[in-house]
Amino acid sequence: MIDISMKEGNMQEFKGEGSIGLIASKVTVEGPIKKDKTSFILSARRTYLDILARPLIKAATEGDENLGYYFYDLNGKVNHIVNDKNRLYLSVYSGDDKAYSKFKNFYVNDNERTEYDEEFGLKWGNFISALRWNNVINSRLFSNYTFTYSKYNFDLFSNYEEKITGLGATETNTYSDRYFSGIRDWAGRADFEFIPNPDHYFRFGTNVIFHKFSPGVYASKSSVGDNDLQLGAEELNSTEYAVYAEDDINITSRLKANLGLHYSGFNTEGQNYNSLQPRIAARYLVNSSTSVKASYVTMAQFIHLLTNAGLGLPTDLWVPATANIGPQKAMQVAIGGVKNFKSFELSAEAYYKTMDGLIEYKDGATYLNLDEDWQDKVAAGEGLSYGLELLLQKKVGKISGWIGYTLSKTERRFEEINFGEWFPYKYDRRHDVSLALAHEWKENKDFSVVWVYGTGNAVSLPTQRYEGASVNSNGGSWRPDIEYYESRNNFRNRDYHRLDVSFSWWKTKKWGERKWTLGIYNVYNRMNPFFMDIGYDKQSNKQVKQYSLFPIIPSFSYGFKF
Amino acid sequence: MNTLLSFRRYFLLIPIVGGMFMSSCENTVDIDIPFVKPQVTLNATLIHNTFPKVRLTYSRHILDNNWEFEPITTAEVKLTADGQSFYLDYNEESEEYISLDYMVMEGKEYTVEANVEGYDIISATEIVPNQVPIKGLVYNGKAQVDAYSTSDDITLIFDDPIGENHYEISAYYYRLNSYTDQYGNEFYYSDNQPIYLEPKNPTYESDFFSNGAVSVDDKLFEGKEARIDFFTGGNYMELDNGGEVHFVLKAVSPSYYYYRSTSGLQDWNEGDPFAQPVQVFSNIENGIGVLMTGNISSEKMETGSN
Repeated sequence: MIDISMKEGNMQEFKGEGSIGLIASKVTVEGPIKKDKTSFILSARRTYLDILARPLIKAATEGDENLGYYFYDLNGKVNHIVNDKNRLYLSVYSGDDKAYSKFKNFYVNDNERTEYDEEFGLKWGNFISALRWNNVINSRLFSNYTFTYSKYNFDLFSNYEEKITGLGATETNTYSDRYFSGIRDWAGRADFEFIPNPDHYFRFGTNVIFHKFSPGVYASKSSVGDNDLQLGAEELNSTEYAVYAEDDINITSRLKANLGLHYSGFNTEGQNYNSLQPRIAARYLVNSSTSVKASYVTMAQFIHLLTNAGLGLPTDLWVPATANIGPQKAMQVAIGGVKNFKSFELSAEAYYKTMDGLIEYKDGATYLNLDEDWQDKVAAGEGLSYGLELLLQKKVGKISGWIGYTLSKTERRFEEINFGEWFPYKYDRRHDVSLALAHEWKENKDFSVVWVYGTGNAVSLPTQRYEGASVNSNGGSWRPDIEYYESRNNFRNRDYHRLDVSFSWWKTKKWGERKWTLGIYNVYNRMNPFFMDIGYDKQSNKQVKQYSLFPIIPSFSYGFKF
Repeated sequence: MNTLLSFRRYFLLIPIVGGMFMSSCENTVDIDIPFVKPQVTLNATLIHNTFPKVRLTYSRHILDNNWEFEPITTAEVKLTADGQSFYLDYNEESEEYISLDYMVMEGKEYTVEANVEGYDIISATEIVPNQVPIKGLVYNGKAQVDAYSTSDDITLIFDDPIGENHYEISAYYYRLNSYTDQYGNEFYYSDNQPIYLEPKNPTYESDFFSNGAVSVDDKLFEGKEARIDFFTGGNYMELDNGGEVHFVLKAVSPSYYYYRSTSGLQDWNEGDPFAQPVQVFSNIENGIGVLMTGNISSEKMETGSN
């Protein structure tokens, strides 16, 4: 679990920072509303690579195609000190991502010219608002009460517009399809921290979340005829609740342990799911530079990630546990150690995780078939994941950074899929490497390099075709073509790797600080996979095509801070 | 000015980087699917009281533009049952390996083995199911489908044997016609058309269909009398010009059922970018394809008499 908190606004003075660049701009302003009492912080980002790349892509495709991606987000937070013991925070986040592909062309037939524009793509977005009250009950007991409203939307869309110009008349027709799903949550939680003495640090609390799921709705609109249509699963309401308690205990000066017990429950469609999750973790200090650790954790999750096993767009959906589909449960054991050298720190951890109650689309399930409930399209099964993580860090000196490597394997097994055999999970990443280095060679100049590498996602791709058994038809017979898949997720996308470099230099001015940054994203122009498609080239040869989002992107930005 | 001069070398990067950017706007990559040795495809359907036939072909790479699957003509194909083996010969006309000296018999276990040069022995084993006779066909009348069309409401009755069983149910309309030409010669011709069957129970429905045939397992009537109600695609029973409606109940092996179910689903989803992939069932050792077995029983109803 990762606890993410937004930065708080400056209580003393008005400050600002931002940057204006070739591919993105961002700005943050903060300051007091009432000095030492109330502050605010506002920030916004927007990428516009799609706008800049548009003429270049159009030039490369003779104006017919366009492909792009952008995101934006907005953040705001107000922080109010009521008194020494009470603080209030109100924060809002909103962000959207959109990836799209556009194609246009024309054809002439029978004295009519038809120009058409096609667009398809996907977009997803989040909105989160939170009100938090931080209360110091006494010198040993602290509390936080949080109320949140959040919204997640996923939208797969396809639009088609044609303009038919005939003898003296022009007609425009439009058609659009959308498949969208989403989750809305209203949540309240209370968290307490109690420190009775230096050897104990208790944390306990409770939370309740009301979920409203829209698992999938298909909508079709057309300017021709009365063909508007909306189909899909009904909204599903559910309640999730949890109580937890844990204690960080100093058993000896060398041995420290965390003991915890979490209870979580889920109520949906009159069905209750309950889960008690013991957790234990311990760390032993071998000497001043070496420690070893071990942990045992059980977890339950009432929301499932449903991924597309085919080649198409990465259309992952979040769906809830229902009366028919239970929660997913996991158990994980891990052992590891940390060794400090002079300016380096080396850590290693091995883990083994088993999972139950996972879901996956059955063979042939198509989520545009809305006659069928999504629950009938999935199978439940088990999963296994294990691996080794290594991390070497250098935190001090002019050159700092880290190199991390993870070797892991994640598999799934379902009675109804892959003839009951184990197969790799879509996001099974056998090798994962990350390297980050920063070199500050002068007081006002630095250089950084980031290289990431990951084994490609596992997807299902037919590698052969063969002749099927004879089928009788209207007194005759024919033999169909069969596409051959060795197994579910039998094929690996190309490995993902990318090198980014950036060079910054800055100077203090009367009004603040200005910073120039020259960077190159994806230095060696690696075409990393976004999705694949089987189609034909211009010579009618069959081909498997991989689409990528980001080529090499040089960037130059002007940053300021005051 | 000093800043500009000190960074002039970096500004030299701009045209270089710009050139790289311009050259990188092609956002697609052709994916190479590794070429592997083609697999031998063995397809055979052994039906009680018919001659055995086996067809052998090679698989093709998924990007191969040649759509034809040419038969393997030089293999050695052997059928074994009850410890006795006999060889099947390649027939140029049907492009299959056949034997006219032996007929497939119900209740027996058959092993088909094909010896193809350069490959391990390709084989499969299946039992031919016993015949399950049709106990009855009941015409329940004409059903109004919509304002313009009607269909026949027919119940098929049979006794499901104990154990796991699978069936393929199909129907067709048959009529023998004749006409006399201007010289007084009488000519006969037959009208034979498949009837699309729609089961009333949605459990038996599937997204796909194989020319109107319905594949079912016996989970709903295990070891008992099965009564399955169908609507027919069209109204045949009240046709005035006669003819017969034939129902065919084929008891099939599990492999037959799984193959038809999975291949039908894959075919149905072709071209749907949002459909999950379908692995087609195969029971062939050292190869792909399917060995299926079945046993047919058939009953007919005269039309026009109701």
